[in-house]
Amino acid sequence: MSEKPANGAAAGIDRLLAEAGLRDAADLRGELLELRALAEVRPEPSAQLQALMVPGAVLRHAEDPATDSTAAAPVDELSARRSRRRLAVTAVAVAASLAAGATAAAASDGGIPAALSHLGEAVGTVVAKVLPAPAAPPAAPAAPSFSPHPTEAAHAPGAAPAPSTTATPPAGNPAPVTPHHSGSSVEPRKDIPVIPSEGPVKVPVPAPTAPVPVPSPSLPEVPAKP
Amino acid sequence: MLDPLTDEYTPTVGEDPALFFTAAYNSFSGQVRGYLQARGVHDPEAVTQDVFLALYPKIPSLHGGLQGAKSLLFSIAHARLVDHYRKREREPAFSSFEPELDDRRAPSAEAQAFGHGEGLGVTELLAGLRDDYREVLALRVVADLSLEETAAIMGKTQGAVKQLQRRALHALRKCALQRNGRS
Repeated sequence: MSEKPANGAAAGIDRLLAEAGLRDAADLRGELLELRALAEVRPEPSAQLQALMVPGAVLRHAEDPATDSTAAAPVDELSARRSRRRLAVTAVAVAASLAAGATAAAASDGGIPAALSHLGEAVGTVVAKVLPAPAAPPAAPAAPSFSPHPTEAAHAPGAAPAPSTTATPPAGNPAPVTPHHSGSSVEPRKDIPVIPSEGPVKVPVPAPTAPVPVPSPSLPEVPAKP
Repeated sequence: MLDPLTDEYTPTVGEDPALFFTAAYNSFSGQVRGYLQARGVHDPEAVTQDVFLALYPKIPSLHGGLQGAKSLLFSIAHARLVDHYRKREREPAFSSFEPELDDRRAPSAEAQAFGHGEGLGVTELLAGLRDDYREVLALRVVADLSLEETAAIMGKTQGAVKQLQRRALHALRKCALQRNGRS
């Protein structure tokens, strides 16, 4: 398409020059060819014009759609990868900020020892949330049962374990809400009597964070029955 | 660069207005825009869109196929141009700054070495010509209209147009020689 109009343009300009008696004006011919080149830029039709046109045949610039479609794929992949990474970073940041907020609130209430214990708890919560996060979907039925809800908001895919924690208290013994250091999910069911032995060490941990304060007072009573 | 709507396939008016309109746009939008740019319209693309919007309602009464559409398009563009200049006389002139149109610049060493300024040098040359010279050159060279079509659009006889284009070409050559002698 490029050669034919170019030749046609040159022939038309030669004819024009011949009509004006300027057949040998090579310099003027160059200027006129340059002037003719103004017509080669085809403007993009506006939306109003496109509505009046045949949809598929609006502008056949040929190269543009092809290059666009090929270039679109890597861009999408890259953006998807970036958004995934951004999501993980955002989750960690939100969890850390929530833990810091909880620590500050606890520090205002209970003094420095309580603040330290809550700080340790918060760090444990964040670590426990961040580390098992990739393994969360397969471990969903195992119900690791993490009680603190601040991180629960930031951990959208891990919403499955949350109902399991709420489901355990009606099961009878609310004690299984074990601290975060025992990441293994097997202990709570079998070792109900054993928990109190560890319990006194970690008693302050569940008490402020658990929504239901019932478990902590009931813990010492469990071993007394057998 | 397959473009069946412009080259191989030329739809008729009665077939499908949308198809005909698309073919007309693909064929002549560049020439209309170039014509308006050569005549010094500030926003040639927007006026080109207006010209084609004005063409669409007239398609059913059009004769002569795509060539008839071309004549009509440049008649509309010529009328829009006259309106544009009349309107500009009544309004204060405001112009956006476009570096390539700024005449206070100096051509680069590379451009000087190749003998020409930038690609817009010819529009600067045209700006120094009389209005009817510019019009006839824009219609004959940029729009590639025939003598008859140009005469019909300008409202002159063919002989008058022929004489006018001869003078316009001589004037353009004189301007080009002056520019080349200056640069």
